[in-house]
Amino acid sequence: MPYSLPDFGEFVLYAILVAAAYTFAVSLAAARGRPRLLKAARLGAYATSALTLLGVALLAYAFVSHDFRIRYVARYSDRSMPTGYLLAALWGGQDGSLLWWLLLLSLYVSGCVRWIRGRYRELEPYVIATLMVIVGFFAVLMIFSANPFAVSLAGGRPDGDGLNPMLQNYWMIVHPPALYAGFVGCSIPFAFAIAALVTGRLDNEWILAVRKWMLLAFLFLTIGNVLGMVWAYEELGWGGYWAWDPVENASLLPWFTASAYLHSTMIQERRHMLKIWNVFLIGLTFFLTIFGTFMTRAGIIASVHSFAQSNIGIFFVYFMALIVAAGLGLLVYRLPKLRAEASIESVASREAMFVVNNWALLGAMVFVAVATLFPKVSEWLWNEAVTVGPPFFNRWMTPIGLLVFALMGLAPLFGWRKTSGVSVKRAFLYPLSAFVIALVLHVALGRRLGYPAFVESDSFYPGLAGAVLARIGAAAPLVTIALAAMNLAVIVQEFVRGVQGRRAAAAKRNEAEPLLLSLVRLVAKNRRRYGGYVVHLGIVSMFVGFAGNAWSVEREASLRVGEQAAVGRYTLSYQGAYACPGSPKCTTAQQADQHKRMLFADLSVHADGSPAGRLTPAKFTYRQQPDSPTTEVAILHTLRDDLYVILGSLGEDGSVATFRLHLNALVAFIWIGLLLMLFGTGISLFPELERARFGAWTYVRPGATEKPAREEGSAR
Amino acid sequence: MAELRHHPLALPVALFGLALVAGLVGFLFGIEILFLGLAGLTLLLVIVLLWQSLQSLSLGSELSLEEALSLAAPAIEQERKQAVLRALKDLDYERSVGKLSDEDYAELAQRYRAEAKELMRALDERGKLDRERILRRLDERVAQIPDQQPDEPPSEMTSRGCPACSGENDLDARFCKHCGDKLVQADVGGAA
Repeated sequence: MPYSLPDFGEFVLYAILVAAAYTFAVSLAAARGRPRLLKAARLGAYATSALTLLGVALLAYAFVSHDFRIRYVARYSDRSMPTGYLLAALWGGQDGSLLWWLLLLSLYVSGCVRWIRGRYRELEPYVIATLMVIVGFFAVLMIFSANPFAVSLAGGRPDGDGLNPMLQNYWMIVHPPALYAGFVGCSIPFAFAIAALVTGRLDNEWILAVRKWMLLAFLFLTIGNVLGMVWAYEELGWGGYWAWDPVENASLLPWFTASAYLHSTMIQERRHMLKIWNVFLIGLTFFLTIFGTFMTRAGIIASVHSFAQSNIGIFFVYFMALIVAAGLGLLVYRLPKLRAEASIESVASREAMFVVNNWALLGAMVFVAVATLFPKVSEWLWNEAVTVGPPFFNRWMTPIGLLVFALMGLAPLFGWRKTSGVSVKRAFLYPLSAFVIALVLHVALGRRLGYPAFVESDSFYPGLAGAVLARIGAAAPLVTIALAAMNLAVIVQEFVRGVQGRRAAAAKRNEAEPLLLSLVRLVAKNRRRYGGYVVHLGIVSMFVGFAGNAWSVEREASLRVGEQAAVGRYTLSYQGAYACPGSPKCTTAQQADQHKRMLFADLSVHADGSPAGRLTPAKFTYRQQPDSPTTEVAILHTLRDDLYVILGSLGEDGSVATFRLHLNALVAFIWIGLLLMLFGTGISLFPELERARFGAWTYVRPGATEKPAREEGSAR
Repeated sequence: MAELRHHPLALPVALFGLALVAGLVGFLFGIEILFLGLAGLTLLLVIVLLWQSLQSLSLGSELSLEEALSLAAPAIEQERKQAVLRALKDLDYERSVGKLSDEDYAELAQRYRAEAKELMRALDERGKLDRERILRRLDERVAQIPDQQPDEPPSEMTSRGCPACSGENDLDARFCKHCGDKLVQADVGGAA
């Protein structure tokens, strides 16, 4: 019988496992012709979710009440941490983050169970059962290997170790939950796919159910990834936003397959093709979320933000084997039902473009996965771990990315099935003109404006491949900008044509529709399509931001007080250093800070000769970790470029300081792209206002012209 | 009360109220009490949910109309009809923006319309059968009520008489346990 908080917490973990097993059994029973048990299964699913919430509430209580008997609490918090970071520590380490993961999964489960009422009745019990297996897996994982409620063997301590200062910032509070929400969200489509395979209800309706959930997961994956980029950029202080770190790659993999799925699902809906492929993509996306977690949690690949080694790897291996066996087994079993009802009739069709696009996205995924695992692979093959660095990724991902980018623009120009010559000409005229004009303008004017069309790009491979890749790298900014112009033209053209079509139809009915109203109605009536185009717009913006990387400059400067350094259009002059708490220059909050000592270097900045503000890059030394001071960058954000200053070292008296100065061009467009993508996905996701809900009455309603027997009496 | 529960804003308002209460508790009594209270409430919720779930395992448990409806599944034809109608809508759109030639449109639209017609016919057929079945059962049920004692309200009836020997039988009995005669089925058996 549990008589203390850690014991009770552990008891709750067992209860989660039992409740999940119970719900699993009841929902399978419900599927076997006893629909009344479905009510019990739904309540069981809710109860399992509530139990998870209970577990998180208990752990949160342990954190805020500083219960250092619990190992996890002692390792990731201390008495001086503010409440916000205490709660962020819930997902700051391995054990707690698994519980947090389970909580998010529970939220999805509850939402899904509530949502599914009255739809997809045949799939429902299997959806619940599949989700319960996943819940059960995480419960087993925590009980046997990563128990967040485990007590320290040495007993309670007066104070804990504290959270890693790297993690103590605003972005770190929001980034992991968003990313987990994306990872976990892929479970729902997977549960639907399994349910559809088991029941054999493989028509196109289940694909519609999955689409929204996958879109939601995609949304969170995007947010999580970009927030990770923001965190790396603002906090890690190495000048960039994406380092192709294994953990980053792990979160990128499902993003590729999810976006591939979101496109190929359209083909299935429209043309009843690619059914096997779609089921495969859903399964693969879910598998990749588990695989990514495995890769980073089990210590397979060394990474800057991987968790401490533990024995949880083997559990993941078993679970992945289960996923693959169940998924592939069912897929093969249902192959006859998954036959395509049509085929691709022409290369110049949207289907064909989507298929190519799918392969490109999948290729990107495979490339990133293999390259990330390369140290392991090479160890197996040649007994020598070969690590591939960011330049390798950047060089190879450039052509793949540009291919996807080009296809993204081209695909909407084609019609379904086949595109006639006339409509091809009509569709391609403006986008291709935009492409050519952008190309010419960029070559002609780029250098003068400071954005040269070709950049230096050394080939770091011997041989042909290296030379070709170097060429591509050199021309990448030019091609990116030209493709961005083309994509922009395509998106604008789609909107213009849609509005024209609406207004023409309105004119035929002798109604006048104002331009703006027409646009709003167009989007409202085809939210998914135009939401998708807005997402594309966001991606265009991001690509422009990525292209900016080629025009970024970087230099180091060692300055005495009063000396100046120039980078691009900016001139920085070093004014001296000051320490907080202590110096009169500190803010009140800094003066009151008891957790760390802050050393600031004071720089005044001039842009093209006129004052542009002050930058104070710093080194923070936390009381808890005095040996590893953190680097706090100072950034001057503008739309055109970011001035990014890192304090390298500071002399004892502050008279000399070394800085790394980055001038990162067009970075702002990446964050703008995220906002656009959020907006677009929001448009697509927004629930149908007049949604048609089916109840049992759909059996009765057709043909019911006389007084229908629909009052209460008939239901019992 | 029931209408309030189904108001579209019910959930957001409830969540907001909960957050407000939580904030107040946290402010007044400290953050520890807040999480302890949250844990307590969740524990209560878990017990209630599990209890309800276990209760609904027994077949005799009550089902509300809404629950009975939520256990019903839409017909396959119904789902396919939705898909076909949506495809037709998309076709119209594709043509209106000039991505589909007129002859392609005509061919595809004709195919989808034929399919929709076929599905609607199937739905009608099925609906008619189901409707007849339901009406028949209703009639049977209505015909049974006067057989009971007039002072006993129908909702409390736990047994019924056999038309042949007038012996008492369980409600869900199919055959009379006194004379073995076949009994008219009274149970409607849910909505499915």
